[in-house]
Amino acid sequence: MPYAAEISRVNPSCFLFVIDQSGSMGDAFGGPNALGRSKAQELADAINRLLQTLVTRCAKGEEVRDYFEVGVIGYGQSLGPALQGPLGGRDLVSISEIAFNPVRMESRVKKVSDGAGGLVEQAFSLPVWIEAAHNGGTPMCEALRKTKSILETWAAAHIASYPPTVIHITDGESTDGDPSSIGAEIKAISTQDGSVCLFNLHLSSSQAKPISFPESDANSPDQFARLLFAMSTVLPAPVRAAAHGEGYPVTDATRGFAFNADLVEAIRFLDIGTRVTGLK
Amino acid sequence: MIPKIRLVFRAEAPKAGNSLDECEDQSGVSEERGIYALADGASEASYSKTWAGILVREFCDVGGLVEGMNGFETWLDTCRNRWRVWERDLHSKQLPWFTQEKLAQGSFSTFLGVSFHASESYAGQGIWKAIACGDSCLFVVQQNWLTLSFPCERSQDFSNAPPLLSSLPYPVRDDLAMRQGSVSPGDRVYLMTDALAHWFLQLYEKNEKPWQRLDELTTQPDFDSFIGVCRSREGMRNDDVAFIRLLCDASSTKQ
Repeated sequence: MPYAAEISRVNPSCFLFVIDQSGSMGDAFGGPNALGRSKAQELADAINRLLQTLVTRCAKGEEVRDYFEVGVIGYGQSLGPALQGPLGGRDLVSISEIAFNPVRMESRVKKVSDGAGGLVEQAFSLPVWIEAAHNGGTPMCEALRKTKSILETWAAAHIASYPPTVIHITDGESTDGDPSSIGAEIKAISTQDGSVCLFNLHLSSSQAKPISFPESDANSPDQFARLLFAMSTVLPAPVRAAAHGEGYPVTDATRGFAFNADLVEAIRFLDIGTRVTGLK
Repeated sequence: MIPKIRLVFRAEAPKAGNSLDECEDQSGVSEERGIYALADGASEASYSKTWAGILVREFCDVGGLVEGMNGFETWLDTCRNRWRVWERDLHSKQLPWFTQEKLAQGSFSTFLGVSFHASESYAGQGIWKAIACGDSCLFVVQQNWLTLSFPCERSQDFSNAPPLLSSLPYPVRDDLAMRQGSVSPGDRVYLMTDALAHWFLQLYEKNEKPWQRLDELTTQPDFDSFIGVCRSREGMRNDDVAFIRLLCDASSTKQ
């Protein structure tokens, strides 16, 4: 049965985030919950929070078990690993290296219930591994070719593992050609437990209604949306269960794709896309 | 004559690939008091072995006195106080950010506690009282027939999200199951955590008598080898296991 391998320290899985850092990412998010911050800033926050969550899931006491290898590839004016600080320049690192090597701990404040119907401000620390960036064009094909190269090597070395998950996040069309065929080549990479999952998350500056986890491209607004839909993997069982649990009406044909996502939708998508089970 | 409950065998086994020290399923035994307990610490929580250990130890210390829902909640408060003392000591040193964050989320475990008492009504019989939260199971076999399966009754009753006791003050009232019954000399009693209990019920549903295979196990190496076979050939989930086997003897030693 595919997508059923236990995720263990002997057979870890892999998350690779491929993020658009082109100039247009400097625009603000659309949608009713937009705070006026740029998509690049919000995305960096979302990825940092996601890495924090992955570390916490793998934490056992004062150690972090290496259930995952993680990479962040950015593309815009330049293309390459986006993790910064001691992990800078590396395509993939273990989740324990992530845990012990944030660039800095940022102090933030959040509002929490005071237990009497009101809200109080509470300070918390957010570890930071990547910083916001937005510059240049959208060399999507080159970024996906880099992704393919990283994952071919990884899959060959982890043949018994739960297959890698790629979450590609962009806000616009490729400026270096049609990424469809390279997307198909990424999805063809496999371990004994299944093929690489390629999820596509499109961020929007407009007020258009988001489309999340569709089962067809019937409601896609344009050719670009249809292209990203076709590039996206049909959800494997653990992720389908997570999407169902969050209230999405999933079927066997549902794909890991969101279009015109606002900030809230983007964070939900990232959360569901990284919900693999069976950590041992 | 009051029957004596005798501990015949007790074992724990970690997930394949983990060391015994990493096993988060814990068992507790107070043979002189006739009290036995299992707790299955949640894999995704931190320090769940510690929390599971507190639960079984505290139950063995006072479990015979845990009566009804209110008694259980009082006992659970004691366990949570023990956890807070332990956590305060842990915080006396500098902890990594992720350790602090996960500690704030609390720890979680299933729980099964069983206490044996003399029967006031029937000479020669004993009474057992069980309390459970989650899918750690109690089985009673009388004259080679399974007469009790508690709290899970069918193999389909197991899931990835059983009710759990938290080290944080979450309410538990709706998640508790309580039962009592009687044992007579010759009866066999088994306590086991979910992976083994699921295997047990699957075989039972195929009209087999899985307790006969468990009765053959007398040493930890026997148990390790048996669990290995079940995992590789009989579809047992790769999970931590804790197991206690008891026998009701005729001799009178406990009032």
